Amino acid sequence: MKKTFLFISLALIALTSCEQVIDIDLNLADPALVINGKIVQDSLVNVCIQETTSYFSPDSQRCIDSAIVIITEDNNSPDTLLNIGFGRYSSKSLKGKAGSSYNMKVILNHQEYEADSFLPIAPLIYELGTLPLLSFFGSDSGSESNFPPGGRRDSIPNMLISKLYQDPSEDDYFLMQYYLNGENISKPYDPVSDASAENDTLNIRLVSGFYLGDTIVVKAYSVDKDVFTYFDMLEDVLSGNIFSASTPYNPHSNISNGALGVFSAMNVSSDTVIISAQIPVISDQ
Amino acid sequence: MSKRLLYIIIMISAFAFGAKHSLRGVISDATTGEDLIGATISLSDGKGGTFSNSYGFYSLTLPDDEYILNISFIGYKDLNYKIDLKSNQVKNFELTPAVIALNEVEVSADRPDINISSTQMSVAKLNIKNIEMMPVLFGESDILKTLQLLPGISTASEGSTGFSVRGGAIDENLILLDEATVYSPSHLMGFVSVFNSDALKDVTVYKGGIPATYGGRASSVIDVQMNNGNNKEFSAKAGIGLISSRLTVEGPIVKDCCSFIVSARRSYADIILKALPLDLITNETQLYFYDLNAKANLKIKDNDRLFISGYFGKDVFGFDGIMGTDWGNATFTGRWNHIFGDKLFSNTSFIYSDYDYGFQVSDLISMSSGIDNITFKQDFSYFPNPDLTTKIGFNTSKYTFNPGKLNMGLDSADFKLVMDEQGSIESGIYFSNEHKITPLFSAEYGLRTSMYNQIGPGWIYSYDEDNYISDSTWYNKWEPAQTYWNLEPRVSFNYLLSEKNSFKVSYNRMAQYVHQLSNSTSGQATDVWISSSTLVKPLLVDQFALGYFHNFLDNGIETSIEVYYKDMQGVSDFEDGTDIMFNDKIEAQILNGKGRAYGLELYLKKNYGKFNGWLSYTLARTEQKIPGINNDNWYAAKHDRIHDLSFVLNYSFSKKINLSGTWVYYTGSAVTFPSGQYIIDGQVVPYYTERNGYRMPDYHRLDLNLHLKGKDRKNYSTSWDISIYNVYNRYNAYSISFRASETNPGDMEAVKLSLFGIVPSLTFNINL
Repeated sequence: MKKTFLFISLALIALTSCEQVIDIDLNLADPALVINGKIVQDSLVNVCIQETTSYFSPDSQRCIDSAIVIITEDNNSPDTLLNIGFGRYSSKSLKGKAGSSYNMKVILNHQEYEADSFLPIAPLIYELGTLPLLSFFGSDSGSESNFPPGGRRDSIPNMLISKLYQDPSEDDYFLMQYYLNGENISKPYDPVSDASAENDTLNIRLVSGFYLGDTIVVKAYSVDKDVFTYFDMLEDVLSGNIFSASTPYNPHSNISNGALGVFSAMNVSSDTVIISAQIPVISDQ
Repeated sequence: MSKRLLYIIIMISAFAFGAKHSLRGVISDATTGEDLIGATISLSDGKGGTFSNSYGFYSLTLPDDEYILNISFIGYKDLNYKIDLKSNQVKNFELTPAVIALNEVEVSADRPDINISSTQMSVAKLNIKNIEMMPVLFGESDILKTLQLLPGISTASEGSTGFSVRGGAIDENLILLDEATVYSPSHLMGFVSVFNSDALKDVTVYKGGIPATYGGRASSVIDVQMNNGNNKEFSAKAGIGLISSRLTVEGPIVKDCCSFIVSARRSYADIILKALPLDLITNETQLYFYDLNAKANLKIKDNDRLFISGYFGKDVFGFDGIMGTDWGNATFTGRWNHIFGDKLFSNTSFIYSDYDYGFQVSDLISMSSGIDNITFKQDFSYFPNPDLTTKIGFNTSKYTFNPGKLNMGLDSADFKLVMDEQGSIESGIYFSNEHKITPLFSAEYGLRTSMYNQIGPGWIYSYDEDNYISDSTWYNKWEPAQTYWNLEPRVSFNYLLSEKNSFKVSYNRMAQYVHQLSNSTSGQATDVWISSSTLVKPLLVDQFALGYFHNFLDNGIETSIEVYYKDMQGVSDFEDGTDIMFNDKIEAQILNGKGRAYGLELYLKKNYGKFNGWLSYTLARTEQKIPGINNDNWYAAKHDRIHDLSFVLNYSFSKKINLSGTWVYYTGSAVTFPSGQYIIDGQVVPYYTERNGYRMPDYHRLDLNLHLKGKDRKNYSTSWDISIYNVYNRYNAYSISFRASETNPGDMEAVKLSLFGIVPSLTFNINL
């Protein structure tokens, strides 16, 4: 919806408006600690620690290699991660496992930062399919010139529909990631929750415009609620546009003691679709 | 006993015991029959007098004697009338317009020293004729834009009709058109106001010391009155402009008794856009607004008059039949004036007002939101003697809020989000006295009691800390779910230091029970109104103001200095990341806190002469403190303006050529910019340290308007307005956003969006 509004508003002011790159003075905030910890099913634990840097000209000296990072899986014995440089910390053996809870503790300059995250079972992708966008918009002519500018005009644009299983008895939280011809077009994830779904299938539409021959890899991550909230806010902050954005803010972290960033346990499923004339149009129901 | 004392005693006895009679009637324009609002009727010895009210009515009760009355109104020839008052009399006066220079800017339309002698402070009246000469964007003359050139009133954003009064948010202005609330006073995404100057008679703005007769909004009242229509002869007026054209027709239904006026405007931006080589615009594109003002009045007998007026306007944007959006206001006001005896004036009003927004993408997506209300209102004015006017009244309003309905999918069952409609009743009862206590000391004091009931049918929810519904209660139709009430005292005092200067002080408390949810500074058509509820608290504002008023050169130059302080309770903002549209948990995400605003306002105005105009300057701060935002510290409100300066100058080269110019300068609004960055999963994430801790660049702009009057023909006259908006083509910032630099990979850059460079426009006017 946001995009449609932006379009209307832009159309109105397109005649006289003007964009310029300008210089503005931004304060340099005291560096704040940023922790990005990640545990993906069957992958080694990986934590990255950095400090915030100047907004316009980030320097590369932001990495923190002097922290102690400890991960504990359920009630097992803690695993202290190894620093591998560039602010990265990794485990030799600890891999993500569905149904486990993880605790991360970071100790730096006598301060402790802590977070918990639960690793859910992997999402189930039932089906991937496409629907011509023009039929979505209800135009019967099928002529490309009727479609808003910005897309390629050599074929009819399609939208992608991913059908995921969702447990009707509880809330599921998904982070979607789409790779178009090898390039990640989600920045970094498209968060989807099933709050409004009424049965066991969740239809996720990507109204992006795909064309014949495009290869799309869909990755669906399942996460816990706090992680979802973080990435939902992150998406809000990063996609903000001048007409519908709320006042800027820092996404709410699940890490204690004021650290920025997130500690996220994730499970993942992946599927691939190539847009071709043979692909049957999927039902949007 | 001195003679003087004896005289005083005799005078007092005469007032106390002597026979008294009343003189009453209506003061109107001799050429059109329009009632004159705020015309002065005074005793020629300067001891006492009164003003005509908003229906032109006056009533004077005096001891039996012979008097010479002086009736005056700016822009009209004075009238002297000798009267021998021995019985109650009805006397209507008609004033003849003075032949004045082409353009004498009159922000006050009353007698020259009204700013000194009136008890009211922090008030401005606008003369519609002069507003039409002001240079504005696209050549559309606009009362709301002219208001923004006065001290204490600041523009929300470029071109916008949204404005903030003394640190209030844009939803804190009560905008009335013939008593009906106008919820969204703008066309074209906020760039043109809904008020068509051709249909308007009088505009009064209250920034402080707001009389007890008004209630419902926290910061200001903009009281706009429509013309009644010429009851002497038919006339027509037309204007052809760059953006829109307009036509007004008025005339008598029965001469000197009943009249009507119809005024219409339509823009044709789409027609112009189609002429341009742009891909966006095709033949199927619609982009226009229209509005219609209509009013009729009937004089039934001398004691009874009926007024029926209405407004209907809409904005339409349609794209190739694929997508469309429209929004607009509708108002209806029916009024009945009745005079009981000679001293009691009654007005009974029935008012309907509605605002609707709709959006549609073919048959697939549709959404709507809106608000409407029906009001019954009864007001009495009692004129016991020239030194006292008492007003008493009550009103009650039923609101229906539609915060949003959304349908998506070819099958309507596919996705549907209907936010519950809300209902409420707002009532008020008041009394107010305008009292001249001594010749030098006068007061206006009153009390308003307001009550607000959120009513069923509907669910009232409670939420837990994760904003999940934890409890719900069903309320039946009309059943009150939540009740608020407030006492709102209103007091103003004026002490005349001399004929040329006075000192005024005022205090008022205002309660506001309806709120507009808005993310933007300027206000958008999509902003929805919601009711106060168990979770959303009413806004309460206490305002103290002091002012010193001084006129020079026989009232040729007016000056004033005012200071104010406002204390606000129930100021609201949103939790981080709150989606404002179609959020059925929005109530749970509104945070309540407090606010404060204070400022200094300077005003200097030259009323007469070839060269006239005004200068206004405001120095102000507006801050708020809301638990959960900015680490619970005070922060600048987004409409905080530190400096706000406006120059308005007119020069009449001759009776046919007039040049006017405005120059505005103001501090950029408070915004949140990042103070650092970090990287999460390959994305650069901005790091924010303080809410609204930065400023947009300062704004300034010069506009010019050249008014050329053609030869007066036998049956018609013509004129041209040539306007240039933003003469020195400054690209003022509308917004600043950040993005990755294309030239220096890895770096970020700031991008300024400017809406308008230099915009010339041309309007042709015909008067028949």
